[in-house]
Amino acid sequence: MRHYLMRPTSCLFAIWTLSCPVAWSDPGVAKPNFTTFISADTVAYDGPRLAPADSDDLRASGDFLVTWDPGKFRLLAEFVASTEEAEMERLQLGWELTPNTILWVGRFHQPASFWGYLYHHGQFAQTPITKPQVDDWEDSGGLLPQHFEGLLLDTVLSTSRGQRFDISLGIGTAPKLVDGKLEPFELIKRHQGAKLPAYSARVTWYPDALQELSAGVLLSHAEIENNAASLQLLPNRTHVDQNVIGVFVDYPSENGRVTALAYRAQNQLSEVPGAPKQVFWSGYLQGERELPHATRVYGRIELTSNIGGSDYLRTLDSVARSRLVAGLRWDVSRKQALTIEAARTRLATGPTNELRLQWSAVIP
Amino acid sequence: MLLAVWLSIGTAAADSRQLVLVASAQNPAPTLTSIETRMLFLGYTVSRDGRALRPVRNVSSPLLNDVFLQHVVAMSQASFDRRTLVATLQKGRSPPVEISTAPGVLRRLTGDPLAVSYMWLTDVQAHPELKVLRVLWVE
Repeated sequence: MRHYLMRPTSCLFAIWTLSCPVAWSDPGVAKPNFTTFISADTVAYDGPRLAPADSDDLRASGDFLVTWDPGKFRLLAEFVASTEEAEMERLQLGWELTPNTILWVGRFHQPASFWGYLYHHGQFAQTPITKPQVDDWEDSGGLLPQHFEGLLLDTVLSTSRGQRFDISLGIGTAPKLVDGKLEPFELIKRHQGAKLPAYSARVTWYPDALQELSAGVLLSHAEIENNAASLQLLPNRTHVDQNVIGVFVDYPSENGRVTALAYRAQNQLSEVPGAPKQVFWSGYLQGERELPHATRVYGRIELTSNIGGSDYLRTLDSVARSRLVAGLRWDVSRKQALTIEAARTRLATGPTNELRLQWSAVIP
Repeated sequence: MLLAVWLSIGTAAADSRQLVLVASAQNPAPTLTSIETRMLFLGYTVSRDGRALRPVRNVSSPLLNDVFLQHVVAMSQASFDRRTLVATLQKGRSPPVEISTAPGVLRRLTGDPLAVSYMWLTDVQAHPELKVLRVLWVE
């Protein structure tokens, strides 16, 4: 067991283990809900590894989610313990202002990340093993901020025509840029340096309020503290101003699902007169198709442009120019799945191939 | 002749099974629309008198579950599971409680005035402490 499993956050794991749902035996009282996502996977590479988080060939992970909604208030805590890290990923206290409008305070996944805000750390809930790199977590090689600390407003607006708009607005502190990756603030760990502001918004339109077909816009602005040595070549480069706009379409059906997304990210080093606004694009198209015997085949193509022309991207490890992913998932039972996934990635240093196997489950 | 037809219709109606949405007689909702019913079981807040109703899945028989999935939420078991998981992950909304016995469902409904579930009409009729909010399906 690694040393960071001994951090104070690990106490929450103990609280989790000791929490006994039997104590909440009165049916008239809203009980806390405990959901656990567990997974184990292995990966084999032919070429350079894609992300530092892939340092272990065999990984096991538990995502412990506690939700509690007694009346107007709501609690959401998501703690991840794995062979690589142990961290309180989300800790949110919510106040239901009106039905389906909640104001949260705490650490949350910023809503302008399509994938992270939909599946969070619930590995079983997503069909593929891997996330698209642009939407991956900061410490797993992701390209954009994913975790904020601050305020989050979630609301649902229904129209008289049976349509629905889900709107999420986040304001908080942005992760900082260190060599190789973004680094979000941890709730309990003491942070050195300034906490800079970040804002994000997500507007999702559902043509039929009760169906999942949706399209939407993602917007974010983050001031990312620059602690990357490779960006210290000029003085006064205190932070990177990052503006991101994204659009997506998500079309699920009983037989499958198609998701398309594109981001345009503009980065500018602050306090440098005449610093250029460097733009990169990143996006993906993913398709899934149901097959007999509870199996599902899927494929995804990811593209990221202008890596060489973006100082911001050049500070990050192993940014993929393109990535092709194909896989097959078999739902062994209602709560367990086996997945095999192959990918070919084109990095600046050359191509790499990977093969992954995963078992994932959800309890209860 | 007409009397015979009327009697046969009456007998068929009596023999047909009806799936009904039920709650405690203390529940503040006099009725729920089909859209509200679907929203309730898909993880949205549905309130009456400022109090959020709590959905309870009755999985005491495979037929009951199949009828619920097909006629109430109109999706497969896998799709329903995914929707409720995502609602839990995203909104911190507790998924509907699943109860696998009819007596267990009755106990939950009578003990929690905000709980809402579904069962066959014939199982409700012997319990005056419950009320029917709407008919969901007729065989």
